Amino acid sequence: MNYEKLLEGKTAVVTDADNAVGKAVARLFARHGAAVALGVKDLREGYRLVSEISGLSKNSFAAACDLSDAESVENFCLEVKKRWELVNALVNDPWLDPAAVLPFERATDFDDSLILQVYQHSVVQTCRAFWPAMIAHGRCAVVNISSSSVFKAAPGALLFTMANGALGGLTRVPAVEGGIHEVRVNEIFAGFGVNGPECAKAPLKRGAAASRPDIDGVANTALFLASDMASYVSGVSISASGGAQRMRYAALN
Amino acid sequence: MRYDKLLEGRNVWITGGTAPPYDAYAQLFARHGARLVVMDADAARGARLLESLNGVGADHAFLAGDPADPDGIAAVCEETLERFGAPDVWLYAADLYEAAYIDEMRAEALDQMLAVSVLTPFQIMKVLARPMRENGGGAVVFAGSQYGIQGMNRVSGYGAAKGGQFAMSNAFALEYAADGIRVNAIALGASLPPIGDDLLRQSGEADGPDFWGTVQPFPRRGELLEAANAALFLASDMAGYITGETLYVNGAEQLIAHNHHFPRKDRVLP
Repeated sequence: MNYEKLLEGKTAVVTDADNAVGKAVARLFARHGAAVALGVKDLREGYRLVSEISGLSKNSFAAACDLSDAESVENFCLEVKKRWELVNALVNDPWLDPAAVLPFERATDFDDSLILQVYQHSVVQTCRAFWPAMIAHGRCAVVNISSSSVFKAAPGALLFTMANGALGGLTRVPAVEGGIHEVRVNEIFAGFGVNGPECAKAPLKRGAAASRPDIDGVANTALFLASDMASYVSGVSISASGGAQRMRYAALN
Repeated sequence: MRYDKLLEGRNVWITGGTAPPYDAYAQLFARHGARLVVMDADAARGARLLESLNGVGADHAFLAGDPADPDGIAAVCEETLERFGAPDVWLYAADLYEAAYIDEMRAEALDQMLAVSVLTPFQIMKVLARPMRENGGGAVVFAGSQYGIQGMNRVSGYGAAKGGQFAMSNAFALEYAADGIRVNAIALGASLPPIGDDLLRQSGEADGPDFWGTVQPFPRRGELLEAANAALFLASDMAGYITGETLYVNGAEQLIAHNHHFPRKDRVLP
């Protein structure tokens, strides 16, 4: 295994690649030799990112992908499939700000359906689009980026937690279905506050030899799970949150 | 970060794991630039490991210390600290596996498994905690077993010992997070040694996809190198934001029922 180029010759899709984690994942995957398809809300930001990583990986591209709009997700998947027969690594990184952290008493039916589209349906859509080729090829990887609020309850974040909780099902069932083909599906509980508000303080000291900024930590975890380093790891949920998954969560609202 | 030298210049202690195939951890860590200090009971085996690591990465050392002897291990660790300084990484790879239905379990077996999996690493952590704190932190990785989390017939004693190890590991993680010490574990499943070999023997099944497909979603046995890659990830800065976690390395076995793995023999008591 070439550890300097863990994704050499691989294709990767990153959704919501213009949020903080998505950008870090796209950069790191490109550095490891992957061609990355960036699904972005803001195309200008997407093009900027592609030109930034173009020196590292030749065939990366950005296309519009608004996770809150099922049709936009559908079109993004078609665009990817037009260029590539196979996606080796799919990273679902849904993020919706700020509706996802509305207290449920104040949220409307519209907010509910928006949240469900972003965190659940969009992930079903991308998996559905790329899964058959992954199964046919074998040894591919899906990484779902969820939240550690699924592990410890954060008061005030009911809708967000509920929506992210579904990513567990979207991880474990495909992990069992894909097992025979060694298609691996795993989930990262990113620290709350990686993309949005922080409600649990990570106990891990930062700046020490062992500690790195949280966004790089999440991106490196995604790289591990997407690469052959994790060739026997599937159906797991791993917290990259500096130990916050074992702390008490403060009220968000 | 240099991903081909993830442990470059790191002082890495490995307890246990000198016998093939368990030496996969030491082999991989050495290739990633670690300076190894290996501790295990069998000096001849340790010498063979050192010989095979000759020229791989930095200079390595072996010290005789028996993971089955929690009372003696603290002194060995103190001596190791004096000679080599505090570790940046400590991997606890020592393991003892004995399986039997509980009414047939040898009386000493539980004690021995608890010694290797709980009492000895407890004593070592007690010695290492302060120097690792003063060193500015580091990473601790336990080579654990999924049967410390889930039950299976014949592994009540082994599961108790490995379960205790996870509980201890999680508590260490919280106690030393503020000091920058990360503590994590990998959880191996039924197909890796030592359980995998036992399972094949007990069931009389052939080692192939027809059998492993009934045990776990993956159609093949795992390799120690795959466990070592997961341990390397947790030991390195790649996992710099991960602590208090248990990472399954078991071909998704944790997701499916598994109590039928060992053939249920006639349990009618005489």
